[in-house]
Amino acid sequence: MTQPQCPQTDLTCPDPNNYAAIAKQLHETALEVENRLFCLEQLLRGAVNMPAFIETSTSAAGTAVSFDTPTPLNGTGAAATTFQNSTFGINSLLPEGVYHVGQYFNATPTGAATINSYRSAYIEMREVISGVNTDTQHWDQESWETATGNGGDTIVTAVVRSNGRQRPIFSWQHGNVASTMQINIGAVRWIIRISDSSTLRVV
Amino acid sequence: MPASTPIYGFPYPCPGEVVTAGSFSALANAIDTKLQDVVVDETLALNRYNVRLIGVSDVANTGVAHTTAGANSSYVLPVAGVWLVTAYLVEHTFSGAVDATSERIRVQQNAVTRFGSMERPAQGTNTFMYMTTSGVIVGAAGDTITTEVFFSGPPATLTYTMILEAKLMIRIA
Repeated sequence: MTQPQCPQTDLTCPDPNNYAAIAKQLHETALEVENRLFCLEQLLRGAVNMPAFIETSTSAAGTAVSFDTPTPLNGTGAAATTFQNSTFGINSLLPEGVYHVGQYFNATPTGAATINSYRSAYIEMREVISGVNTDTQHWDQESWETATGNGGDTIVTAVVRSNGRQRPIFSWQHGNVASTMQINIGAVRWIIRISDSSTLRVV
Repeated sequence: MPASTPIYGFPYPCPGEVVTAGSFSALANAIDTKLQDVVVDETLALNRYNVRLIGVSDVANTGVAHTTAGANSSYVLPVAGVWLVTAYLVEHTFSGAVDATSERIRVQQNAVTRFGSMERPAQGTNTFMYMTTSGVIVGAAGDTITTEVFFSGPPATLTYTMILEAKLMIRIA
């Protein structure tokens, strides 16, 4: 990624003996300095504030009894953008690089709970190759529901690498045979860029 | 009446105004002040907030969500930003035999749950199990980060220590 350059030429100077232009020159100097400082400030913030996208669900998302079947969460239910300083969103191809990704949700049975049933959160990187979804870099975290009422807090985080043609798929899976499950309001999904995928060789 | 630049408000004389030494000093001082802001920015950028708080022993009762209390049990965000927060439940013991118990830890922002983890500890007497949960919080300066522990026993109580870590990932100006 090419780093933008801030102006590096000398500030303009007033014409000799043209004292009437001093006021105008101060004006121009103020604007030129401001332009350069603003550029530096943006570069500094851009270098340390890596692009990120965070969304939080604003409505409950119900699922059919689909135990033992991974169910994607991207684009399901309503969600609001909590923070974004990136060009990518939850369903975007991620520019090549290394990312910290994660999701959290609290899921409760809509009816009876299957005692000692699991809840799993998944993250995979998906690339469409010849029209086929190809998922790699699988990450998952399981939690276990022992009784009704508590709900299942499930969270998974991972450091993934994108080749520029991939996007993260946030999925979940459950083993609650006795009833459907509901993912409650407040589910969070996030993507934070960490670095470029290649590093300069240190000599 | 001097005018000022649109972003940082650097002052400059308008056409027709008398240009004095004060015009130069006012502009120079304004530029110097902004340069100091950029230096502070650079320092903060190279030394991001990164805190690790080791709490004291606390007790949660079965069936009651307990907000961790005592020294180092909370963290007040010093600046607005996106924070990576991690909570570790360590050094904990149950008061008796463990049976059909689920254990949950949550991280809260101003008493509102943001994320958490749930597990089922091994059954038996005085079992030990460490738990970790880690997620992101978008916070404002002054927001309070706390942790909550919940378990469904028996037994009656859970004695534990919580470690809370917070690292600033992205500054929000």
